Amino acid sequence: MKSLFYTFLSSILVLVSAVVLISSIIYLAPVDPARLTFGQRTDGGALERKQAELFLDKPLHIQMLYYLNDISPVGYGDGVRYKSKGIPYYKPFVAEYSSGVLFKIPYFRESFQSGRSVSALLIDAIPKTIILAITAMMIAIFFGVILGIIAALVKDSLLDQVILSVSVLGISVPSYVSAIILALVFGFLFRDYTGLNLQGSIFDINDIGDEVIVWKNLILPAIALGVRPLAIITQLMRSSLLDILTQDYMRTAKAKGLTFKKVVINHAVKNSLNPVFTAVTGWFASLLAGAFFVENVFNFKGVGGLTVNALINYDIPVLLGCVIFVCIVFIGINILVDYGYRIFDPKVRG
Amino acid sequence: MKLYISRYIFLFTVVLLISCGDDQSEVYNVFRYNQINHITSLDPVFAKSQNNIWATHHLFDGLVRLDDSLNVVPAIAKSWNISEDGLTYTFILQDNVKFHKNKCIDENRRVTARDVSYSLRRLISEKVNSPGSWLFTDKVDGPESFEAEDDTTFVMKLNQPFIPMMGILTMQYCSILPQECVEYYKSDFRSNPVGTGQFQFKRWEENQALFLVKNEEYFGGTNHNLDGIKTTFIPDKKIAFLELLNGNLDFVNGLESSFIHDLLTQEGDLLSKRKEALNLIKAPYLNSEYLGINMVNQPEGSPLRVKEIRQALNLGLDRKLMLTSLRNGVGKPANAGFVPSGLPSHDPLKVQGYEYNPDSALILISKAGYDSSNPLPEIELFTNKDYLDLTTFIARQWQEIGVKTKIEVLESSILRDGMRKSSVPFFRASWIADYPDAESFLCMFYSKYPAPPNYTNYSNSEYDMLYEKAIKTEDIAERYELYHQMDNILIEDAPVIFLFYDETALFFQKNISGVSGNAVNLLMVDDIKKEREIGAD
Repeated sequence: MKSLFYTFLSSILVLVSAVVLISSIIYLAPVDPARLTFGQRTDGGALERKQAELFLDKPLHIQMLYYLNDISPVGYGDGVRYKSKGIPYYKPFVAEYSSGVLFKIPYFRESFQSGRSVSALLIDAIPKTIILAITAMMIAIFFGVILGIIAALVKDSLLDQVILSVSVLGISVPSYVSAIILALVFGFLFRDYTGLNLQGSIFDINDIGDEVIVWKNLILPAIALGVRPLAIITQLMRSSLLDILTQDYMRTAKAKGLTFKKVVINHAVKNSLNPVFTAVTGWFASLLAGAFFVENVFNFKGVGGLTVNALINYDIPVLLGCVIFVCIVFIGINILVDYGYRIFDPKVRG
Repeated sequence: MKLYISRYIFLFTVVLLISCGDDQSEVYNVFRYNQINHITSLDPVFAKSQNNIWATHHLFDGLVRLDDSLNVVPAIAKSWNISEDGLTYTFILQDNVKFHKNKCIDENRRVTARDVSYSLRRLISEKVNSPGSWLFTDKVDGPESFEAEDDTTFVMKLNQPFIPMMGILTMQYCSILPQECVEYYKSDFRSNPVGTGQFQFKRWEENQALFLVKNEEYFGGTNHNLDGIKTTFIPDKKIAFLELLNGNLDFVNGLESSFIHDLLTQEGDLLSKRKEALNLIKAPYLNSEYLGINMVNQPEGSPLRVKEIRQALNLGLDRKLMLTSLRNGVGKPANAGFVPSGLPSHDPLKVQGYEYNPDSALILISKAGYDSSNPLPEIELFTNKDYLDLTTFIARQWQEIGVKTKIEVLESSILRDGMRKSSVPFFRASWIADYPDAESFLCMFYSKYPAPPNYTNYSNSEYDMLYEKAIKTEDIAERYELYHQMDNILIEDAPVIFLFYDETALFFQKNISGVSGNAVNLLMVDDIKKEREIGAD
């Protein structure tokens, strides 16, 4: 119980330091984000009013404190701003218009560029990235396990060598490189045969104005993202299966007259999947991060696309929202993996 | 358990198979075009850049609008009258203009003068803080300057005469919108626009696509044959052009330097292999491309402080060669002042700018006291990466007259911020007309304006006097004469290196007709006809 409390505390610390670090880098860039919300001409004090509205006229540390106060569920203030933005809050100890401790849902502010709330932008983008990551993982597990089994069963043959060397290539090529290659080959050169688009997101509007879900736009990004985990799973599966096949109980199974098929599928494969699944959970978090580059190549409008666009426009609240999302995913999965080990692996528990 | 898993795999496969065959048969006649930048808001008070302007132009109308030849013509106002002293503008409104159908508004709700005063008061309100509020800065006293006299009479009072005002009223910022809808949707009006335009809002998948449908009850009647407009937001120009060639888009505007040789000849015509599939229209675009010299904030010993050097740099640039080699002839050499061709006041006879003349440039440089024993110090030119090829070309040209130029590439937003803070002494920039009047360009050198518009911190009392006089001069010929004098002062003082007057290149499919280029680079769909391919359904 004590360790859970410490994990929680350190997670918060990681989150706050990420926000402070990222926002200082952005704020120190010689750009005025308020200026970017205007056209080519601004006069008559509009710029100064905008800076004040976005707190950009305050010193850096004050801006950061304000922001942390906004995203924290427990904050301090009179709540007037939250009221005007429609953020529910509860201020139990003081009168209506005076400042005090208040409880609220985290307020991620609005995009500088579009004025849309960052929470809404994230709610729009996160499912797309998660669908992408899950599809990529499914592809990786499905093909990785099969290729791994094949390679293990035909160990040291030519096929095994081929699978092994291709998987080494798969591990070493970064996902954005494979993304560009896939896009060019299947989305452009062989477009007539594949029918795939060079770029595109899964939610779109068709030519008669209806909302459509274009699943085929998921194929190439998911493959691009899945290549590396696929290659790793192949190798893990191969070595783990080879390991198990030499165990004593395999010989026992064979000796009691089971067919080769039954031995491999019922006993060997089942047992060799364990290390693969442990690796998959750990990989999932970094998969979400890798999705950033892949999304950018395919113009896939998930969290990655949102982040890159926010960076270009110095849209600080959106950027910080995305950073916080990624932090939470990493922290969450790390905790899960940690506790998963504790539950399933008695060695760690001790 | 095993059974369940195989069931899910089966289901997943079926879903994948079904979704592969999504058919997109064309039931409607839809005009499809791409915009490189996302739309940030469909609320016209935030129509700060082309992406937002085009969409709000389809959705909303103002009191007046521009026709193809940049004349101010009636829209919601059917007539207007400007008082003798140039201070009171009285507009008589059409009485048959209806707002789009929407749940926030009564059916058949007509536009009244109160909507006009509400819309303009909203534009200048500090609470909204629109990027267009500068339109009326120092020109009106406050919200009470916009007054509805009765249902169809609207009165606007200025605090000083400002002749280009009618041009300002054609801008999308001044669109008329209904108060009840703004109050109903509040900040979500940006994604639920209700206006009076030829098209009304249907659906917006942000950053992906926008779909508008025809407004059947448009007050002016319609001449196009479109049922809808679909805007996509493919950020990569190359891919947008590919989509055009593949027939997935009807219209693309602008140029893409890596793609240009695959579309245009050196002279700027369509390549013969593209002529079968595409049409091209080129039109002047009210955009002046220049290199700006900060007249106040120049480093110690910078040769740009010397007028003769600035003139020599202007003379030492072969603009024609620059346009043919870099832009395949799209654009015109800026050899007649800062006000671009395409504006009626542009007159190459009265305003004669710099032609390419390296010999005179060399003479001017030696006159300024620089020679082989006292060579010119290196000049630093700041640009963003999109214009690296252009600035490199210029630097190479200047090398021939003995001027060494170092090019510094900055990120666009950093460069713009530097220009605003006067921290970049020499920079590449362009200025697009906000409204079609030479004043929209010449205001850039009025010393009482901050940066922007006065990015060069230029200050010249004679120029200021002419500017103040011009914006009060009603007589067109007299005003143009003043504009010419101002342009000639700029040529003499050379606070900028004049580069070129931009042109728009509009590419569209063969089955589209009625596309017209216009100098404010507004996509006017009024007359567009799309022939439907036989058997497309």
